[in-house]
Amino acid sequence: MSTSSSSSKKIVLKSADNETFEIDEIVALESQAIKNMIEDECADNVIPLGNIDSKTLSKIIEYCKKHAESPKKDDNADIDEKAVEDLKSFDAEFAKVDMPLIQDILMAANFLNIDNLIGLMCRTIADRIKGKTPEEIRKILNINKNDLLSPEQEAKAREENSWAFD
Amino acid sequence: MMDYTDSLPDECLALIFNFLTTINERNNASLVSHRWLRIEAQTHTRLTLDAQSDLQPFIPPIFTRFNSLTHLVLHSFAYDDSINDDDIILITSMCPNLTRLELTSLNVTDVGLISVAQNCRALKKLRLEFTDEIGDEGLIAVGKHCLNLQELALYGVDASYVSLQVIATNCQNLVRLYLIRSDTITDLADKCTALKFLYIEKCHEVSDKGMVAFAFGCPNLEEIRREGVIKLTASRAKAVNAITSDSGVQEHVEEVPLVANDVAVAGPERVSTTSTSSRNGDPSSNFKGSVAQNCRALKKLRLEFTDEIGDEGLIAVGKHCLNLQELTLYGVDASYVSLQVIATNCQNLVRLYLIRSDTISDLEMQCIADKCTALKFLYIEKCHEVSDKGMVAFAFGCPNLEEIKREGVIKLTAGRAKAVNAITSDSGVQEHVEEVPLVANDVVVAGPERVSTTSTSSRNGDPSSNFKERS
Repeated sequence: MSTSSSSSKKIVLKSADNETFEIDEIVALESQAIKNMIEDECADNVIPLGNIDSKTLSKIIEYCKKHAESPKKDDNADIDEKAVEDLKSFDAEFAKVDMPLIQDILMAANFLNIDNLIGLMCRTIADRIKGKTPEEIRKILNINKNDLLSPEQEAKAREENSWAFD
Repeated sequence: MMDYTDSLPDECLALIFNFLTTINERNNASLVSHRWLRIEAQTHTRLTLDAQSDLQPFIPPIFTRFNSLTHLVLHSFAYDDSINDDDIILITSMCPNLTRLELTSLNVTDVGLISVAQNCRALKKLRLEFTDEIGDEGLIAVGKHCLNLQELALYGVDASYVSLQVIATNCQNLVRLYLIRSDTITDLADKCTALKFLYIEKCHEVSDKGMVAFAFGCPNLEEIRREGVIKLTASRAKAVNAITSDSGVQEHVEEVPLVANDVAVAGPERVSTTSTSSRNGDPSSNFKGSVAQNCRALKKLRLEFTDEIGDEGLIAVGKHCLNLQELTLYGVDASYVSLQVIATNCQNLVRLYLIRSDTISDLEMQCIADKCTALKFLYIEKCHEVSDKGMVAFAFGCPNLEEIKREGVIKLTAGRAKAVNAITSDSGVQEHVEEVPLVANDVVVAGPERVSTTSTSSRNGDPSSNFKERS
């Protein structure tokens, strides 16, 4: 991967399928897990990520670069509203991917401990199941057929639900 | 094909459910699978239930399933058909982590509330609404066990000073208190040291004196909202104002007049004087005194149907409110004793409105005329004891008088209207002569009602004819 600033320190990430990604340290620090590794000085020059494939990893790096470049909320109280809007529309575009990739990104983000990305993926899934019936949700997420409620169990849960207003 | 959620840890699934905000979205999610049913329930921290008696058989399964509740609302549409003490005891025993509980229209008694207090010691907010059987005993238990209470709302609950005092003493984090529609609350606990906000509505037995004592006892009080006090008069609203400025809540003084305005807009209903006077002697004039002392910068004062205000309070106004420019007395029983003080001291008084007073007579008018040198405008309406003689004396005495409006004088005769006219042309208000006949005309247009001469003639002989001679 190309870098924006030649003077900054580089980190190399290696995917499960052995592809390497050289990124600025500042981008890698978006991941709390990598940050901890660097701070504990247990990171070699190359960090192997044996459970993340290159397709997922490149998406995650794309996300981290964008967010590392954007001004942080806590840095400056009156940050550019345009920058906030820009980041919002980036996130919206970023989330327009299919369910399998969302799952992979969410898993990887969870492993790398990137809070914003976990939130974005969870919200994306929530948005896709809002207003859907249980059966439609099962279809969208390919829910395991072995875990379904029996008709009696479902009827019981429905009855309990009917007492709740809110 | 694999389940996209299978590999996600429970925490991720829980996060997804947190983005589902409506009860429908939640319910649909709960029915997707066993795992979803379990995790949805774990993330369900706030529950509002229709608490009719039919709920009873579902209490164990519902509260076994929703085992992470922190905020529970139990609401019944029919008091007679609601869950009872046993049910509420069972429910709260299954919800040990509740921090917020709201009970509305439930047939729950002190017995139930005592157990609730013992079961829910982490409670921070408690709201009881139309729980008619709950009284001091249950609330004392709340004060004993729920030491983290931050907010308490009692709506139509028969609580008294006794339980409020226990709560105030023990719940040192109580910052917000709502008291609505209680006839049993006569005095407020006086040691709510942490309290910042009090909302009190339709607690008719709470007197101004009680409010003052309360405000003095709460060093951290920032705001009082008092609404719908049917015995409220403008002066009592002002007393609330005065209270808040007495108790170190000065930074909120600009909010308090809003309360007073609200109240004024709500319309002071007929003032029944029994309850206040029986308890406090004559509190209104006391409070008038405190208003006067607290509002020394007052430029305009309007008192309307404040039947209990008399000379004592108005004298205080005259002594302290030296900047007064406009005074309106509407249905106020003032006499020359107080008006003299105001007229002498308030040398900037330019506008005076006297409406519907039976105690203001010629003597009072004479007294105002002698002293109110700055007065430019007098509006006088339905002050039947003021005769033409008084008006003449008045007009002669006020060197700066520019306009008199006199309306609705039921004893007015054509001759007396002329007298008013004559008065104004006599008293150096010549430049306004063209206005004054209009006034007189207005009066005539407004229609003189049947003339009864008794009250004026009994006091002044036959004042009307005297004044005709003079004019």
